[in-house]
Amino acid sequence: MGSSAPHLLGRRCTAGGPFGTATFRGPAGPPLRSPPVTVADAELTATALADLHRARRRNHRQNIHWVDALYRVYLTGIGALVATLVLAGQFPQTKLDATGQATLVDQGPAWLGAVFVAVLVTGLRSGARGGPLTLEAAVVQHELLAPVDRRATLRQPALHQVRSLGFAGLLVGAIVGLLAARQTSVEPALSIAACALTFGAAAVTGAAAALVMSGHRLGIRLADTLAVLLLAWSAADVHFHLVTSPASMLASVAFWPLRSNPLGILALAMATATIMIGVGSVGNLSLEQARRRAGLVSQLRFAVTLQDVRTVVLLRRQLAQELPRSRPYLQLRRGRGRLPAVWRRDWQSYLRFPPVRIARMVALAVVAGFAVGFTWQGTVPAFLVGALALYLAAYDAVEPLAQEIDHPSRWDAIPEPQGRILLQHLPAAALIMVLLVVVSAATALVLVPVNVVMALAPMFVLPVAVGATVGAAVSTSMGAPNQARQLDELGADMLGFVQMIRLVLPPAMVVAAMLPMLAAGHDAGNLQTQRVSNSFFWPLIVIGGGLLYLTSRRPSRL
Amino acid sequence: MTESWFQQAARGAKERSEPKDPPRAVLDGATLVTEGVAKDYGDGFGLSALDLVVQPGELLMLVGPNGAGKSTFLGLVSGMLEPTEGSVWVAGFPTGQLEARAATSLLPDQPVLYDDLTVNEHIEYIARLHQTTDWESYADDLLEMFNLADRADDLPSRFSRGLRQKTSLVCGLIRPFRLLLIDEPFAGLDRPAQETLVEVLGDLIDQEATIVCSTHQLDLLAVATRCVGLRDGEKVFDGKPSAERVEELVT
Repeated sequence: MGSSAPHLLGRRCTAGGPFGTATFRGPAGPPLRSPPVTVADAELTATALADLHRARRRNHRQNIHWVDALYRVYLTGIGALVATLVLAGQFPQTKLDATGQATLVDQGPAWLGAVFVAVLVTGLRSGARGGPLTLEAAVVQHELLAPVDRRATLRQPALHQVRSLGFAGLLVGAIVGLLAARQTSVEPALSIAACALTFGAAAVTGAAAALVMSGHRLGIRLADTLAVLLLAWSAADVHFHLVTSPASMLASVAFWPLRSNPLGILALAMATATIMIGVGSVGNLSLEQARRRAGLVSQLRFAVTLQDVRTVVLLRRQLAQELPRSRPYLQLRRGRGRLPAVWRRDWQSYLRFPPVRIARMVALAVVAGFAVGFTWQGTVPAFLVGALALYLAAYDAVEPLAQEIDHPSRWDAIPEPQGRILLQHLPAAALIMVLLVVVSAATALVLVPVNVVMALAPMFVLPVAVGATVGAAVSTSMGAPNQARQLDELGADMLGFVQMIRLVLPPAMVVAAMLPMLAAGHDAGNLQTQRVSNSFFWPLIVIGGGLLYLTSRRPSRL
Repeated sequence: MTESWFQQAARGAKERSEPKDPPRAVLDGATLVTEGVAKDYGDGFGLSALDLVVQPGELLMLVGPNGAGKSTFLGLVSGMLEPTEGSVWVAGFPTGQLEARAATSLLPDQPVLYDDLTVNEHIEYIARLHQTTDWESYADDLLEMFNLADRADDLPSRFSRGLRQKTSLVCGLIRPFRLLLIDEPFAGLDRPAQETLVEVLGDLIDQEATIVCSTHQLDLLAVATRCVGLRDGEKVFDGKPSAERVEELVT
């Protein structure tokens, strides 16, 4: 026994909590063979929790650089204002006539409901994996393992999350309401209020659905089953112009200024019930899921801060438990054929893609198709949404190349010029993207005349697919930014600019590949195909630059 | 907690019910009882059905190579992980219940600390959360023993690995418990702190606390009363600890 031991052995403390009012010596206490084990007093625990949160807020405030924070708020405000004004200016200025307005009221709720289903499905799936709460590891360790009612600990974070998402929905709804008012005969204030209420309710319901799933520990299979049912129901509403699904009912609230529908009240009541059930069941959250999420989310935040896109993608996949299939869809026979090794390795990777990843890639292609359709109909900014959707899909398509980047020592050991290996990964990825762009083109048929799609698709499929592939490959092969080195080499003034270029340049490649689309005009009977052909020069230069960059990449630079 | 039929169906879990009657060993006063507890991570068992009874005053060394299931076992006992099968009882209560949580102190392999609380604020918060009164002087003693008294008003987020581990140890010891679960406690500690920890653990078992410690540190043999060896998720040894046995189980 060392000199310090008597401190522990000699001490007698009064334990007023878990072991009743018995005295105990040191932390373990005297032999307690038949203990009157009692749980902590709820009121004292609540006071301790409140004091902790106060102390943390105080410490957090001390660490805030107020000038930086205010400058950030100022920049965000200016950015949001400019974006709203630009967006508002891009929409057609003409108001809908009576027939158009009637069509909008008939079909709008079902279409908007389909969008809300996506929010709900996201919530259901997140909840099945322990979301939407992302607690700190210390909260899981010290508060959820403590002998206190977990509802007391989790209610506040749950309400905070619901409130934040609701506020975000409210803001988006208000902007949509403002834009909608410009095209209908509705008073702007009414339109803004109705849309803000609807979008806010949809966002809150999505979060609450996640809380219900995680609080009742409902699994991913049930989430997927519900998702399929909701999607099918919503699709039926869209097809038959009905308002029967809960999402369509909720969406009908946004159209109240044009036509009131009592089913909207029912939807709002259902949303309220979901929130109450969700927040009420939050105490039953799985610790295992909470701990897993806590670890991944803190890494994710760090990767986002560093603008390390590849790490963000990997961590997001882990968060979603999106793992490669242990059995491929199709087993490639070993040692047969004369296919290049890299090509073969790429297809081995694709054949193990989990179904949810494939579904996401197809969904992004469909979004791109609709975005192109809306562009054709006059909403030009939708074009950027389409480009971004294809760029995100390409991030999954370049997964085999990303694996080389993730394992630089293995890549370094391949007895070939290192940049060439990256180029060899591109054909398979580009082929996948070609298939996805074809899906986009097929989707665009919903909004664009057939002759336009048939004329333009053959011209765009390959350049857009290659642009998206090269853009995603460039972004992936950049690796994590080494800010310390960049600061030394470039200085503080250039660092921000370089960071921005890193972020913007890769998606700019697919935007460049799609830009000639705008040269086609809006007249289906007089398509400017020659102008489109002539516009491909600069996009090809940009893509060529991307390929050169890939050739120059070395494992040592990562 | 009982699962409704649709929860079980959704999870694809086997029909399982909560243990209604505690095992005999629980009634006999054992601090920790596991009955066929197992964990399947989906790609094979992390831990195969394990039966274990640990009495008050026992210091059990949990030994095995990487991936043997040691951390999984500690996670299952603390309630941090949910068993695929079987049940765990701590101080007479199924793990996860408030009473079992009151009796269990877990020290994970990586220190888990708030970024924005000082060492003193950590201690105060944890002591109050467990409604320990008269903890201030006891905290001072612990801080002194682990040579942390000078850093008590600093944020552990700015500490080295060793100092964070010491803070974690103090946080785990400041609260009352009957079962102490420790995962690799010696990692990052300097030699004096390692010796202090062994002494503290020795004192605790003298006071009838139960300790389950996952470690390969042979220093612990001085106070350990029992050794359980795990390999590939299965119990391969349960008996008196010795240096030769520990070496054999690790390799």
